[in-house]
Amino acid sequence: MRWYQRFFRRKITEKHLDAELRFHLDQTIGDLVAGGMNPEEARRRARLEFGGLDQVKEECRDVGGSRILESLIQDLRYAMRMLYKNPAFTAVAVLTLALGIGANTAIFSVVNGVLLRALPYRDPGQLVMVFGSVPAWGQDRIPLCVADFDDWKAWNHAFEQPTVFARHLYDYTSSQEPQRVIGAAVSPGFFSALGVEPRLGRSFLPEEEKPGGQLAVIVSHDFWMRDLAAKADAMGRNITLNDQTYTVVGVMPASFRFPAESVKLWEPLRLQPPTRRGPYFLRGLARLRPGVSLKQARRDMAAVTQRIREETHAKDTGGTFIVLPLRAYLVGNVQPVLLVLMAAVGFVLLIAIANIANLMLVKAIGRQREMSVRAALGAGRLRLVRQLLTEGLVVSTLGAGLGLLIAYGSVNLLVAISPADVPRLDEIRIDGRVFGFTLLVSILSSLFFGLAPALRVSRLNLNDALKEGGGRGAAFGHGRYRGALVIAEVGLALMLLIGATLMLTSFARLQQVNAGFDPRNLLTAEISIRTSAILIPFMSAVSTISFWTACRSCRECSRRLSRPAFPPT
Amino acid sequence: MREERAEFLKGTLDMLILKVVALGPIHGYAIAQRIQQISRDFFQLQQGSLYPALHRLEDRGWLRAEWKATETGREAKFYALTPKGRRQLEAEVKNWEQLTDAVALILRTAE
Repeated sequence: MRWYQRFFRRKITEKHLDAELRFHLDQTIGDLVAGGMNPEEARRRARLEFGGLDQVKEECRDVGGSRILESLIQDLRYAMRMLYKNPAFTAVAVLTLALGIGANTAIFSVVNGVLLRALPYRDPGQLVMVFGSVPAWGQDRIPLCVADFDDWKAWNHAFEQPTVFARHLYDYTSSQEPQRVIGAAVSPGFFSALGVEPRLGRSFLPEEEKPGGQLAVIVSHDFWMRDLAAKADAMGRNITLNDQTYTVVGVMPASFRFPAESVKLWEPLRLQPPTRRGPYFLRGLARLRPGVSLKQARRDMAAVTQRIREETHAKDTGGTFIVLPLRAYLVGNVQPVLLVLMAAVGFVLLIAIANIANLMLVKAIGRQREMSVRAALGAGRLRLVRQLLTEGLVVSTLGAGLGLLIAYGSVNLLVAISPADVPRLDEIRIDGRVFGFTLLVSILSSLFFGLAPALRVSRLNLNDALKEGGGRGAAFGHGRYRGALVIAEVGLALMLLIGATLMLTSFARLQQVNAGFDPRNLLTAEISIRTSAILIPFMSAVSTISFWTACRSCRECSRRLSRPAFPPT
Repeated sequence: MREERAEFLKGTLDMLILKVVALGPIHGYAIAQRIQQISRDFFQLQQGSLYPALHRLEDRGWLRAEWKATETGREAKFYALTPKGRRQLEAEVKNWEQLTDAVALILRTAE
């Protein structure tokens, strides 16, 4: 009989086992009586020779696998009953754990979305950003100029195809209401460097990427959905950006949000041959050649720097290029903040677990008699330990379930209140990995707080326990043991509390970056005037200034704002 | 001495059961009787410990069980050897003989 058959036919199995053993006893008794013993004595002897009947039965049942499933169900049922009978304990334990697990799951889902999940580009580990850096000025993310880009392209050995892009603002005026849209102008090879092709339509043609070519634009999935009504025939449609007519040639996949989620348009960057070094407005993006490490790429860029210095005879400012992995560029300084936060909620969970473990331990002392009786009736030690672990598992499963709900709610809240500069916010959600994390945490925590009472049971001395358990409350007579528990609990909780507090303080410090000015009552606003008027700021400076002057002197403006300032952009 | 024998028995009980069952279908009580008789009471078998062993051997597919009437007409669980059990018995007997030969050799030559 296979173990699962035995499980479903356990009533029959049990009957058979009973009959088999009774047969044996009856035969023994029969033989003894036939030998001249009186029946009463024979029955006694037979029992004695046989050994503990229930123990033998238990051992027979333990053969094969069915017992494990069966006793697991029994344990589960028993654990549920126990928890149901102690609603206060259950509520405290489950709620404590739910808060701990909920906080951890929520923060982990942020860590997962921001730090762990792969970037949606081909082989993202090979993608790097390139900036200029002048350590003497304390600047390390200086954009490149066109000459830098040309030199980089010409003299490097480490990159597949250097590309650059620049963010631009566009006035999108062919919709019902004019909108300001953020876009990027990208040099040839930009999309293939990232390894992403338009979902619809095509990427730019070479003639569109040359100065004076046809104006073409690729839009984000988001823009296509909202402003082009998600129509497939949007390809080839003309839209007006900055008073010029662009043709929509492609739509990117929804997951493509480079360099930032706010970017909705991409157009070819048409560079004129430079006449000088500057202006600096380009960000470099490139894929490392296969097998080239970040270190080699940095060395390669140092060589390029050296050559630029030699060939231009420019004044040496100590400027270099820096090569930054794309992930580091996107995630930026959020990583330490997140890790600190993760550690802090980890501590909170540890406190919760320590508290539940202590609760369980205290309860285990109260249940000493129950455990002793069960052990005396033939329950194996392993069985009792399993029982306690099952109780822990039930508590932690309930806690994890509730915690997942809490996390679900708080993730949305977290995303809503997060500062906009947290990268990849839109990728934060509860996915399979987060779910797995929660499962792991709950199983581990159930082991922790199930193990404490289980260890006690495994050291249970039946004789003493039954004797002492005889008098009510005798089990609680271990004053010293209880005292030690309380001391351990307070000590542990205090330590963890201090740990968590320190973590949270570090977190707060990380957040409080001094901006260098007093931000109270300070408002900023951006006003878009027809871009054509300020397209080339130097040429149309007069009209820009007169616009702002008019703004400042407007009555409404001077009545409501105490000191309006209009810095040129 | 009895304790030691019990320990000694534990490892060989499976083999003894298989050997006894190999003679033909037999119920648990008779197996206990047979082992005790043949060994001339050398093994004080705690009779209860026989049954977990029987169930284990059945679970492994070495024994097959069947409920049949005894000569007195009462139903009893009869155990019989399966082909797999026979192979197991042969292997265990061979092992055992090698072991005892080796031990005997050591005892004789070490004198």
